[in-house]
Formats: sequence, C-alpha cells, structure tokens
Amino acid sequence: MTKKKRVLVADDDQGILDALTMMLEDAGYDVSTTPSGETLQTMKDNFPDLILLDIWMSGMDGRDVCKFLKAQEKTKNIPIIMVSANRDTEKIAKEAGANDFISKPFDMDDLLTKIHQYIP
Amino acid sequence: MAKMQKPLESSQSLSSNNQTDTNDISLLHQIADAIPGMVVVYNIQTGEYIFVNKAVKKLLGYEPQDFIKKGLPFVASLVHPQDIEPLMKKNNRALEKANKQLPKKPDTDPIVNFEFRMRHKDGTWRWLHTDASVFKRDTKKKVEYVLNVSLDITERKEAEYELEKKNKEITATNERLKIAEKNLKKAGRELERKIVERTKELSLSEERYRLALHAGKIGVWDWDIRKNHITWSDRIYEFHGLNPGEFNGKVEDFIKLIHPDDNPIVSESIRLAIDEHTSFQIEFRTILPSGKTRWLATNGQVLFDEKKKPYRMLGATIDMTERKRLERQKDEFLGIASHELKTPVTSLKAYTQVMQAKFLKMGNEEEAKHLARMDGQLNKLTNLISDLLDVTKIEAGKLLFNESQFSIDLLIEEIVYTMQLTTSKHHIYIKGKARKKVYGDRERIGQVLTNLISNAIKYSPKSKDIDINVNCEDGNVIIGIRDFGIGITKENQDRLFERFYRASGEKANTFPGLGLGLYISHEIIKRQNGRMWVKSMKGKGSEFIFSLPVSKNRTQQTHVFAEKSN
Repeated sequence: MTKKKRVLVADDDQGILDALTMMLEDAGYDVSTTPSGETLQTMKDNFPDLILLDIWMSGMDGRDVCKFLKAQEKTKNIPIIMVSANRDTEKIAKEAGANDFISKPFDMDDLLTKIHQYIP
Repeated sequence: MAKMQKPLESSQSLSSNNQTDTNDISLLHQIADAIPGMVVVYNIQTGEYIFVNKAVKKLLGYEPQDFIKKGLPFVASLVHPQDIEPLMKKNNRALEKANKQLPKKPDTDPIVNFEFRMRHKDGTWRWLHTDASVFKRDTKKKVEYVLNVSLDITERKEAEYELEKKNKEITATNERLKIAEKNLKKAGRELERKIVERTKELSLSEERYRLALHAGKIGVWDWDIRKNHITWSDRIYEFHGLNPGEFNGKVEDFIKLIHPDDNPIVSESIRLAIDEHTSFQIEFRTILPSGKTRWLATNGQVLFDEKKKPYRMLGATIDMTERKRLERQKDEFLGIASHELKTPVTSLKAYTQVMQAKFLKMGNEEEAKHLARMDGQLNKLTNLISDLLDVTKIEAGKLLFNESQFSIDLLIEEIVYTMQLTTSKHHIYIKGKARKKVYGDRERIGQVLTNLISNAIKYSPKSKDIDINVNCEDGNVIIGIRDFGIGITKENQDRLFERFYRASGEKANTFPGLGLGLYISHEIIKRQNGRMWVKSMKGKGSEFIFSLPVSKNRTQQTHVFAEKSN
C-alpha cells in the first residue's frame, strides 16, 4: 500500500479547514491544517507534499509565507497552491512565486484536478 | 420815357389851380425818375397807365413803355397768384371808401399801402411795398387816377422770412426742449424709483445668496483670465487653510496648492471646459500649510467674449473631505464584507460537494440532486458577492487586469457553451467571427460576456433566440448581444450603466439582481480601452454592444482623468 500524499492546508478560518479536511481526506489525502502562517515558517521536517495557502491570514500575509518557503532550499520544491477570495489571486500568486492558484469559493472537482497535477 | 401830356395836364389842374410851368413839369419828371421807388399813375376806370418812372426797369426789369402800352391787365398779371386776391379786395375796399367820402380838405385822401409780390422779367419774385393814393377824381368826384409809389422790399421780406423761419425753429426747438426736459424729469423719477426697488431686491437677493453660501458651506471663486487674478470668498481661504488675503490671486500659485497627483485632473478639466465650452466639475485635493490634505469639489463655468475667447471663469467649491472619508470607509466595508462572506460560502460549498459525493457513492441520487441545487444557489450567492467586491474595487480604482493577447472567438464559444447549459428555453447563436486576437483581461471580458448573455436570457422570458453578433472593423472587435425581449425605454437607456441602476417600470421587481452587472461590465470595457453602448426599443428587445481594440497599442479611448488613488 502506497503512502498517502500529505496536503497541508493553511487558512485562518476553521470552517474552511474542517471542510477541506473532510473533502481532501475523502479524496484519499493525508491532511494536516494550520491556522497560522508562522507554523509554516518554522517547519523543520516532515514536510508536506503540497501546500494549500490562503492569502489573507491573521498574523501573516500568505504572500510573504509563499516567498519565504520558495526561498528555502528544503521547501522550495513543495508545490504551493494559493487560495483566496480575491479575484486577483492569479496575479498575487504569480508575484509570490506560487505554483498555482484557485479562487474561493471553488468547486471541489476543480481543486482536486489542480492538486492532481502536482501530486498524482 | 413816357409822354404824359394829357395826364400831366390833368395833374396840373388837379394839383393846383395855378398855371404850372412846363419847366416845372419837366422838373417833376426828373424828380420822379430820381426816386428809387417805382412811381406810376394809372386810370383806375380804364386801366390805362399815364405815367411810369424809370425805376420800373430796376424793380421789375420792364421799360415804362411796357406798362403804358399794355395797361393794367398786364401789370395785374405780374402779381403773385397768392397775392392777387387780397390785393384786389383791399384795393376795392379803399376805392369804395374813397368814392363814398370826399376828403374834407383837398389832397388829403388817405394813403393805402399794400405789400405783395410781382414777377420780375427775369422770372424771380420781388416784394413791393406800395403806397397808393388818389391822384385825380373825375367830374363826378369819383376816383379816376391813382398814384402808386412802390419800393422793393424783397430783401426786407426775405430777412423777415428768414427771421420768422428762425423764430419758428427756435420756438419748435424750445418746444422740443421743454418736452425733452419733461420726459427727462419723468425718466429720472422712474429711474430713481427703479434704483430704489432694485437696490432693495439686490440687497435681499445678496443676503439670500450669502446666507445660502454660508449655510451650504460653499465657497465662491472668480478668475479674471485676462488679468490672471482669482478672487476668493473667505470660505475658500478657509478651505485652503489660509487667512483672507494670504493668496495673491495668481493661477500658478493656486496650482501649487493642489496635490501633485491631482494637478493633471484640474488642468485637463479646465482645458476641456475652455475647448468644448462646457461647465466642469472637479474633485481634487489641496495641501494645507500644515501638510494635511483636504478634498475639495468645485463646479465651474467659463465665460467667453464676442470673439469666443475665454475671459472669465467662476464657480463654487465645497469641502468633501468628510464625504470622501465616509465613501472610502463604505468601500472598505463592502470590500471586507464581501471578502468575509466568501469564506463561509467556500466552507458551505465544500461541505455541500463532499456530501453530494457521499450521497452519490451511497446511491442516494435524490439527496445528491438536492445538494447540487444547493450548490447552484451558492454559486449565485458567490456571483453577487463578487459583483459587490468588483464595485468597491472600481470605486477605489483598484480593479486590476491581467492582460494578454487571446482569441476572442474562442472565448465567445466557451462562454456561450457555458451559458447555454443554464437555459433550456433559449438558443444562443453566434453570428460572425472576429478572426482576431484582442489584448485584454480574458477573465474580465468573459465576465462581461457572461453578464450580457445572462441579462439577455433574464429579460427575454417569452422569446427563444439570442444572437451574438461578432465582427471586426477599424482595428476593433465589435460584439453585440441581441435579445428579443422586453426592451428598454429611451429614458432608461441613458442611465443603464449607472451603479445600482435598475430599470423602473411595472415589471421591474419581477427581475432579480442588484443592478451592478451592467455598471461593472461597462467599467471593465472602459478600462480595457473599449466602448459599450445599447440599442433598444421597448417591447422589441435590446442589443448591448461593446468594442475592444485589437492591437496592444490601444488608442480607441484615452482616459482624461487618471484613476484616483486613496
């Protein structure tokens, strides 16, 4: 049995975290969540296979977190999909160096398709 | 010289009972000829002239012989037609009187005088003063011979006439002067009354105007363009944080008070108002001496002279700092609110979709359908929230575009495909192809197409067809979304693209929506350097048309005003 791919969801809204956890676990992923961007910056090991990163998070801007992770040798190859309620998510994601983006609210199928592109 | 034998004899017998010497007669001839006046003696009963002195030549241009030969009828014919009748009347009266009454003493018959005109041989009229007296009576004591002594008074008469004319003129002038003086006095009184009245009205209107300006916190300014001097009311000094008199009135110094970012807006608005002879409205920031900024709004108008040159500009200004702050607060609130609304919607959507998947897996298709409908409603909610967010971005000038070159034909096909899925009643036809790529934000232009097609579906509940007319002309792609629905009245067409505008009318409330879609679409197209307009007829349907430039170097529409940044 192959090891489940692990998706880390960073969002400051517990409702989103719960819903995405349920959805992603249903789709067969191992899901961990964090409501704070700081957790991502202090990761030492046990890196996830993909990060779903909210742009607006209390305490920290998702853009800065993305830039930080992409600048670190250990984390730079982790695919990051930026998630936001902002219509300009695409632009923001590009600027921050994220691999992809999806606008809230999204269709489950669209999100899963995007995740599949990076972790089949 | 006329011979006067017979009359002279008679004269002798008349004038004196003594014998008169022929020398004396000759002397009398000489005396008569020496007199400057015309001396004639004629028989009033026969009309025959018996003596005419030489002066007749000088006075009337005739020889004495002419009178003697032709007699009284000829002489009478020389009298002026206007004078003949009065002359004859007076003459007849005098004759009648002389015939009735003999003088108490001999040779004391009264002398009667006449003034009348006679025609000179050269055709001119001469005024004569004639003294007529009885020269000799016949045996019955009736007047037989009359002696006339006439003097030329033409000069005197002309002088008199001129004098009379002048007098008449003076009298007339005096009359006119009197009338003019009277009128002047009347006009003066009227003017005085009007001035009092107007002054009263003016002071009332001035007071009203002053109170209104004060109550409305409105400042007024007046720019004399020729002298380059701007006059401010005290309120404007207050707006700029200056004390009255601290501004020198020069336009270049006024420009220095404006926030550098707003300078182009102010200059451009003034230029446009002058070029296009329109009034202008500008919102701009002024920098106060303290360094703080204040938002001002001014409405102005340019005045032009007869050569169409601007010479004066004036207007009113209000402080809108507080309004701007509230607007910004409102926009921020709407922005945050719509963003915050999306978060629970995202969770709801996620749960709905997970549950839907689970029900399907369990074979509960009916429940899965309910959840699919719920998901559809969540999509509608998402669109409404997105519209609100877009509006706040437009208002804040923060609507961003990810521009690229893309095939508009492909985009139309995609959108039509998606929209066709939302309606079973309508059929959407694509008519024509652009065969060109346009430069712009694909997603935003797709949003415009979606909005226009969904409107076409919404507002044509009783018709089937919707046409998407596509063509390319003059470097622009032109896309028209045509429906055959309820249409829009002319008055409503003018306001269609306003924010929150919804068509009024009996059926207005039966169509859902916030009234933001067209405003957003119009703003998107405008900011993509395109143009949007509508052709519509009430009851016949509408066509919403927009054009987009093909080339990247777009010149179709240039924005005069830069977007304001907060």
